[in-house]
Amino acid sequence: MCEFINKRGMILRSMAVGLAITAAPVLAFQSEGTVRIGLMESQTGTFAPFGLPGLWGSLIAIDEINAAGGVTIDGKKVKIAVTPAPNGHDAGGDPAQSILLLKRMQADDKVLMIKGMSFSNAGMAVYNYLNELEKEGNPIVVHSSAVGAPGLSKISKWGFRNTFSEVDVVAGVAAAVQKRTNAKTAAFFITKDNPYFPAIADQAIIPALKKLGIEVKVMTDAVTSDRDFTRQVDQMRAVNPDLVYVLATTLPAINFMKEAKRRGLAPKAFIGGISQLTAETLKSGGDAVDGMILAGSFDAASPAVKGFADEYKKRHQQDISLFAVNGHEAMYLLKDAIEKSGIKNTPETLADDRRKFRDAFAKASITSVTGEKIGFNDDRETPKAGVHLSIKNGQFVPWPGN
Amino acid sequence: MALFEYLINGLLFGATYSLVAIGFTLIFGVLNRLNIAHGATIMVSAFAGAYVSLRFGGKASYGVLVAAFVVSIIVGALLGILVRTVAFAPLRNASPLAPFVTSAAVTLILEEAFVLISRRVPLFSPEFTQFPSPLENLVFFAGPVLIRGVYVVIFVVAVCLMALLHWWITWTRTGRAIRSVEENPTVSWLLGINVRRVEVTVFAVASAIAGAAGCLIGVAMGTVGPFMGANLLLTGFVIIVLAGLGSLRGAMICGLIVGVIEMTIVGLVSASMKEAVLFVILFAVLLVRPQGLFAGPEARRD
Repeated sequence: MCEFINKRGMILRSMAVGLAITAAPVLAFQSEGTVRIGLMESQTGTFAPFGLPGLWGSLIAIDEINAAGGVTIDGKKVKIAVTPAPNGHDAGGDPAQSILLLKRMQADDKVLMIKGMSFSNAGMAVYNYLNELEKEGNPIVVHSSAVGAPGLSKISKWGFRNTFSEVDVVAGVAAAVQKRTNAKTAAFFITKDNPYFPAIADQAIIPALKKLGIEVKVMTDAVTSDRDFTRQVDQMRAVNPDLVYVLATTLPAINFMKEAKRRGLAPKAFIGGISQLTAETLKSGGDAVDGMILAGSFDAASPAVKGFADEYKKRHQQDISLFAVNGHEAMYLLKDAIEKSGIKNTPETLADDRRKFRDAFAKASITSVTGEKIGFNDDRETPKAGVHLSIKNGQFVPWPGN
Repeated sequence: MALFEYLINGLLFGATYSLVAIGFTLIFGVLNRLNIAHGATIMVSAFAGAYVSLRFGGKASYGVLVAAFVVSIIVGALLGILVRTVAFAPLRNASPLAPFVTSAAVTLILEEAFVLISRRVPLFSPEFTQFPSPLENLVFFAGPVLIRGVYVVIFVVAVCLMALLHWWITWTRTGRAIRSVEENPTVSWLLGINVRRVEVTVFAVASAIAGAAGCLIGVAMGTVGPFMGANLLLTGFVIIVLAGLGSLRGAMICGLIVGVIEMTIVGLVSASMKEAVLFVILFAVLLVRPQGLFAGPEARRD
């Protein structure tokens, strides 16, 4: 049925895109005082909790940059113009739809670069398609501030991301939790229809647990559309693990935690992932998620992010998340790259500008709104130190295991 | 023991499926048309209930929960009348497929509208909106078997609603008029029954029941979303075909059966298999008994 819904949604969105494609694009380049960028985040559906904060964070950064005069190109200040205004495209939850939008923005909207991709399946599809565009001689940079799938940005030299890579920090989290709890056994709850979660378990978490001598007793899975987690919780209760890893998107993770609470599953620690670093987890999870331990890229209570957090809350009535911060950072990385790239920002130089921008983007370096200095490594990712957090009374707070 | 738990919880939760299917089959019985907007009615009603619960602190108050339930029923009834006015009444003499298309269009409009509403109303959330209730963590243990309190409440409320509906259809003047129109609208009109009024009443009642189902399902799941009705519509469709189109008694019983099957499949195998298993069962039943499990013998006159 979900397939049915997704297909129907895809058809509707495809029709909308088709109609939009027929409309003549309005060119906006140096002569009009703007530089055009494309946005395509998931604004509706399952991945909206990751896409919307990324979009909103980016829009706040763009407003800040434009309010300060814009970006300097060829000695002239120009404003960043989002295509289509005001929120870019809604990539929804479908990889094919994402590729369609990518093609549209590359060929018709004539944007300098694209920022988007809110989930792994679409990210993998789009980054693979970037190689096709390069073969055709029409390459363009796509940057994601949300997709965490291991190895994503290695797919194409035109694919970048400033997501917080859990791979880099899971070993540290596991060691800190073991130190405090003396854990000897673990269990996994994984939604297997999103390739990110099995990958992060197999490639990072399980090897880290093995090194620490923690035995994995149960691997139980589900799909994103599941609503009842009796079986999964009962399988865990049967082995009574010390640690429970929750590797799932927001809603199944919340429902799993609620079922665990109802059934009295009480490990020494529940450990979540970046998918739990959303306002929805706090809003809908309630006391069921209280105490969950996670790794994030910043401490929301630190003074550095206060200005951004206040503005974000004023606009959207919710607290900032990792995805909002990443979205904000991405636009300042963009600004840094544009100003160092030497592009001309004209319709005639667009293809050349895209190449120059890619080269400059790979070397971009900024101080994030969190206070951390970030830049891209050789894999076009931005390694971050990370902080350990836990959920307490409906808020993400620093975890003592730091 | 786990299997026994799935059976019990499936039976209890299946009562909501009965409510979904009853409303669906009631409209089909009178108009001989499928109301595709029935799922969207469930969704909108569930959102109405969730709004009341979120706005007035429904997590800790049974009073607010009752108010949310009442609001869901009222919203369902009003929306049902609107759907009939917009998607069915103007097409009385059109092809039987025409209301199928118009009610599907109403569904799309409502779903997309609630996608936007979910993003713009601060109480709601883009992906899913919580439906807080004091029943969320209520559980009973019958030995090692865990039974969720919300399922027991759902079962009791749903059975009461079904009993009330059965009494209304069987014993009241309006109920007799509905059965008459179901049998033959033209003869009913000749006998002085106001067929249009019967249609409006049926839409209002069927959609009010859908509203009740939406609220109960929202409370059981703890969340509501713009596309929740589409899944329920499919389940409701399976139930009414399994039961026999237009059979109220069959819809009640088959709803419970489907609840048990679903919960057991989800528990023992995976939720991704539940629709596939349901359709295999439907296919098998239709091979043996094409008119459905509870359809009476069809009278034929030469």
